[in-house]
Amino acid sequence: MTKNRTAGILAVVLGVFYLAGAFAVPVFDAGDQVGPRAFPFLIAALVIGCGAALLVRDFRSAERKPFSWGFAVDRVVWGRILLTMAAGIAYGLVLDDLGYLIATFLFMILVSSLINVGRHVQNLTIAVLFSVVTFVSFALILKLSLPRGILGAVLPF
Amino acid sequence: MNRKWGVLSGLIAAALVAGGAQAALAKDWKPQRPIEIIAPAGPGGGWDLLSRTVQKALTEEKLVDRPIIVTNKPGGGGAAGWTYLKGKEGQGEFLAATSPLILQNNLLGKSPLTFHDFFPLAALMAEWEVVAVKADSPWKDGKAFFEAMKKDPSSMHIGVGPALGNDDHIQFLTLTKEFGADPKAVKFVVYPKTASEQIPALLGGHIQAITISLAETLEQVKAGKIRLLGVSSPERVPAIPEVPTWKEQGVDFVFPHWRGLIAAPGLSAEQKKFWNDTIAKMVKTPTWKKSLETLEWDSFYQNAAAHEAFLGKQDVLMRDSLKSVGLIK
Amino acid sequence: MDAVFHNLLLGLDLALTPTNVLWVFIGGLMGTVIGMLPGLGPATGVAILIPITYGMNPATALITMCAIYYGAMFGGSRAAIMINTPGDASAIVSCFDGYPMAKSGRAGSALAVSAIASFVGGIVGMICLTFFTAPVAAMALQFGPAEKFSLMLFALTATITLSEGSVLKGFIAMGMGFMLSTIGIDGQSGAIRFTMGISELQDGIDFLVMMIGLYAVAEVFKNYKAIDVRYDVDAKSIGRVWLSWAEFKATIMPMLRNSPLGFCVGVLPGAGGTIATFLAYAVEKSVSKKPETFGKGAIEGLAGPEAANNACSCGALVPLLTLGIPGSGTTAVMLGALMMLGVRPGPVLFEQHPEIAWGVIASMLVGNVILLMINLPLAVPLVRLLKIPQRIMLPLILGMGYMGTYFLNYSAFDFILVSVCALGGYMLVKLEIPIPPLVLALILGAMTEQSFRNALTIANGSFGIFYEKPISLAFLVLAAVSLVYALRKHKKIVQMRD
Repeated sequence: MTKNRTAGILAVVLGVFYLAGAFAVPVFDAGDQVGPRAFPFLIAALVIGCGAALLVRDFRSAERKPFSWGFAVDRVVWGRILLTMAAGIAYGLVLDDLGYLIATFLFMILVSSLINVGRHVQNLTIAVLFSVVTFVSFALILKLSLPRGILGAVLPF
Repeated sequence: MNRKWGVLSGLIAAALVAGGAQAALAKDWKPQRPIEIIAPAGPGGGWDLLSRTVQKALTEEKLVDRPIIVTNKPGGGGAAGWTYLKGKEGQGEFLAATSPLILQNNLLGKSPLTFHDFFPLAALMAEWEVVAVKADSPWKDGKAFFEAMKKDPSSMHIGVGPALGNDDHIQFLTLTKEFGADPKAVKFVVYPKTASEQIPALLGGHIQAITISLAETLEQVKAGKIRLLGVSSPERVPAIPEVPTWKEQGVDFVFPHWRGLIAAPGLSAEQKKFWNDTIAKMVKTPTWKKSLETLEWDSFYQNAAAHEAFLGKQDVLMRDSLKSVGLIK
Repeated sequence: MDAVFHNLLLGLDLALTPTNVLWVFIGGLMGTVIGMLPGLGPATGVAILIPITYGMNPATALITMCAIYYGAMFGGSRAAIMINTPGDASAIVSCFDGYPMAKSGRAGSALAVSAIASFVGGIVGMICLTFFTAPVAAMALQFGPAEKFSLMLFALTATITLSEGSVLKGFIAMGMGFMLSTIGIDGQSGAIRFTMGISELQDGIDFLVMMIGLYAVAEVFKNYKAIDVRYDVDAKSIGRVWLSWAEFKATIMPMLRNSPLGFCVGVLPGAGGTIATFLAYAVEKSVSKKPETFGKGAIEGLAGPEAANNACSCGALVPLLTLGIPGSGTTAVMLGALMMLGVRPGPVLFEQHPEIAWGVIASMLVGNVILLMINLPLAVPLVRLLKIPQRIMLPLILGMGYMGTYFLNYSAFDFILVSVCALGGYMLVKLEIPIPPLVLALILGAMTEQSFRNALTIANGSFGIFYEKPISLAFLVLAAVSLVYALRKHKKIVQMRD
């Protein structure tokens, strides 16, 4: 599997899924003659067409260098990426309830331990400083709205 | 120094109130923690401006003794902020800004929430809607314009924004029907960036008319570049005394683009009474009146009971208009 | 002509009062700082600083807000250059060559050239604002939906053909961007499209959220492979934030020729800095004798778009000052703030309060000089950031990225989007699918589709509107030319390889 072949297949698959989605778009009496479906159809055609062309060209060319995502070789890198994503999503989910200060502190501790392995004091400092400094400057000085969460009743401002 | 003392005395007060809360709850209710007004849009828009104006009036006139925070929660045409408010059931410290969109979103199926899901606290201000044409266009009033529309709807393109189904759109549909033309035949050109695209499009002659709120057109009217065919207010607006209302033109149509406040659902009678009384006091204060003046907003105060009845009526009106053009079934 | 100079002197009189100079300085500095932070662009910058304008007289307030606006434009490219994280959409292009320059130890030059180019763009923009406001505003009115559609088509094809590698992959990337742009409620019919039942997607995907994912977070992912490596910066070049004579000579023409371009694009409502910067980049790459250096640290590729961007922000003031309508998100916020002060900018402003209108224009002259003086020294501590080891820098970039995401919509759902986009961006880079066409298509997608449909509504269904209108036809021809050029260039490369 070469790089272009992978990209071509990805494009065709995406395009087909998108086309299926375009058929599910409802059409109303009101609005214009073009309607909400026409543009998506064009896009699907563009992506599927280009993906197919990429595949055809790749089969004809002499390029045979195999492409790999490196899931096995770069296990550590992929592991870090997935953990960062998970941390980011979890950060969003707890932000409103825990409040900005606590959630940000937890997120920063997580990702910096992931990247800056083993240096606990440094990571703790980064996490505390980052969450407090950003909260003070944005929520208190610039008055942007950041969630206060469970600290809401305790914080005096 | 001052701030420090403020914080300290605030803490002491908080402790005292917490202690006395049990006794106080029995008859009167007062906010127990910082009050949050949710602007269900980003900074700078109409809801944000209203929330901050209310914040300013309540704080400066000392009508509440807790700090007020304005929280921006944009998304879903208001739905994101209102969903957040719905989650604060029974908590009297949470308010949110609203507009007719709370009805329209529900009617158009964009959001399951409607005004029944909250305590509709008050309508506060209104802007009026107009139909504008270029100053050198042949149409002088609503009648002439809609006559032309009846003759050849395909030559008349109407700019509306940011999406169909809003107040601007509903105004034009209702007028079309009232003046005897076919609402289904109207050619709407949608401008997602509203006035910033609609007005150049009108001035450049790309479209024949726009349906829009009055404030957005004032500068062009003063400069003599566009003409207003009519305004949706009950009486003529002082800023544009020469423009007749729709009512004067023989159409029974008064249509405010209002904004107001809702509170969290499930409030106790004491909580409802507190806010109803507080807002009633607020609209009489000089701070509030001054803000309305500088922002060129008309006062449109309705207390909780009047507002709820009003919302019920508007809901029916809008459903009919949207049905008549097939936007809803 | 005399009248113009008279007015300008009147304006300078107002702009040079100590109070106003002080506020230009404060506004410019705060704008620069806010512009540097991801997710906090000029619009948010002006919005959160509105409270400081309460109680000011309207002229000072408007001058301060303008200073924040172009200050943020100066700042927006700082983060793009240093950590590959554009502060807002118009700074994306600064990543293309600015970040490679910083990585190869030329951060000082990159920061200096971006500050100087911003200055040149600001000054040229201000001159255009002084002399050409009326004709340019009249020209902008000629832009109906058909013209807009053709302009965007041209901007899109120009970007594809300029991105590295295969044209086919460029089109695939553009298609993906369009796909993302169609998610949400269709403005024309109200139909809900491609939301997969997720109500948070109804408003569509905020391209700034995507950008933080595709650039900032994905950049962190790319660095996971070599966490302990430091940037290749030698101590000698760190303190030096200035241009060599050769660099100056190479960049002065790009700055001058792209500033008027940026100004004109800025006047069009809704087009804005993104189109201006991408087009400026396209211009520079196609006139360059060494187009292969673009994307690898070509200083012209940084200078041209930077100048265009600042000139564009002056252009965006034209609709505000002449029509009283905001041409961009930032000017919309400024309009709101001015209304609270009881002033409505618009056609009447020049007649009734010429001192305000001209004071603002003249203050830009002062402001740009001040900002240049702020930004050149500011670059010195910024460059030192490169000395911070990756393993400490990366968590900070992540923290800033996610925090910036929250400020965009105050929505926790965006955290999921950012994370997913970062993964997607990382995978696209591995497949050598170019990101720029994707981002541009995402930003312009909704506008392109809406203009297309509006044009057809106005023409009652006739496609003739696109080629019968001369301006529209001109852009269509340009789009076709750039496409043919790209295909031929690509063919040549393939032949050379075989």
